[in-house]
Amino acid sequence: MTKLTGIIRITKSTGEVYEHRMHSFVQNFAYLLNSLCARLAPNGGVGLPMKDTANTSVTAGACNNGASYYNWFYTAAAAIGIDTYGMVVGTGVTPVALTDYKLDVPIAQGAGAGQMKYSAASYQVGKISSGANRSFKLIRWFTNDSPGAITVNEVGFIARPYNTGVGPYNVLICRDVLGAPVTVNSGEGITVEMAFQITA
Amino acid sequence: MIPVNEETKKTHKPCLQVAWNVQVYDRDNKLVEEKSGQNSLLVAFATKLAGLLYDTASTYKDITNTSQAAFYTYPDGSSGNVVTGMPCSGGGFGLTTTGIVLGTNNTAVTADDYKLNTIIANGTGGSQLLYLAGGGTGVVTAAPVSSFVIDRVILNHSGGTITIKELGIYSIAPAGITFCLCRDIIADPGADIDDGEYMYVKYTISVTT
Repeated sequence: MTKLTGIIRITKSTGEVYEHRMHSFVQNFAYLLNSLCARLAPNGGVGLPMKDTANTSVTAGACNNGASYYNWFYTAAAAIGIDTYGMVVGTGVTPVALTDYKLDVPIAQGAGAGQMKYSAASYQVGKISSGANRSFKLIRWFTNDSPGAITVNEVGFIARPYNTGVGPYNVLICRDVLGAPVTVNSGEGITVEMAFQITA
Repeated sequence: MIPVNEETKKTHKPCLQVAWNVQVYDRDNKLVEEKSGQNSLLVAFATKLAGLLYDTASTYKDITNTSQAAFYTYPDGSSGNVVTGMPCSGGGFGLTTTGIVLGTNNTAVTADDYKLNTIIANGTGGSQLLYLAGGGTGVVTAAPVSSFVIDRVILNHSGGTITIKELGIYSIAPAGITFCLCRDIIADPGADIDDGEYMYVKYTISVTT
């Protein structure tokens, strides 16, 4: 038996490492995966079943004219300072619900009170790793240049599907509330890794 | 390391559940056998997911098709040798290159499996099965689970009994490139489909909060 598991690892600039076993894909992810499997056309194929981060109904269609497939993520390349898609962090502690469409309390990009600076998104380059646990990672750095400490309690990933005439729009596909808070003091930073692996 | 979450690796729940169920019906549509199992996603699935998340032109041929040839994984279909999307729930009538497929070899699953070990060909000859068009459902949410189904009916008109010991989902990409997304085995003695009987195969894919 093999299974897809996810791990969030947070490394503070002070060296502490926090690890969280993820299992919080939300309903939006199921719609996207379903449309990919069924090769459904945007809008006409599936209607507007998803909610974007503004709580607006959007399509989860997966293909365009039969050959060019709907790019339902277009995400990992989130640039520096972008807090509207890619990996995101927040301070909220409300338990995860399937219908979540955004973080509970997102931390905005910036250096003001309660804000953090978002790096460009990165990822493990190259082949999916070898060995018993085959994984790939999404990575992003967050720096607290605000005047005070910030407590990170939730981590999520916002996809950005688009295709000709459809999107892009921002769709939360997973959200995890951490089992314990991660306090990031002023001047500190965190590296957040989201690793998905096929585990025997 | 400070474990935020005490859940051990052994009990680490999958973030995506893939459960299978097979039912064998006789000529009178009477259920004669049923078996179930779960969770045998393969590296090809994770590689496709990675390609979709990265949104970058891969410089590696990092996904292996059912003929063990390597291909690039692009998310947007922008280049040659593309492997995008994962269409698999609409396997056409008679096709064993996409959708649910069955086999006869229950060698243990490994993450790197790239095909069924011994796939059963489509047809009515000896040891062949007739694959009807595949189907599936849309997403159904009943908190705390959102799920959808990929399914297929496969008939035995071969003249003899065929014992099913493995099943999986194949996905076909542009240019007819086929990948094995998951492979599951049915422990001995397997599941018999006698001549004139059929098997209903269902995969349920779900996320759970």
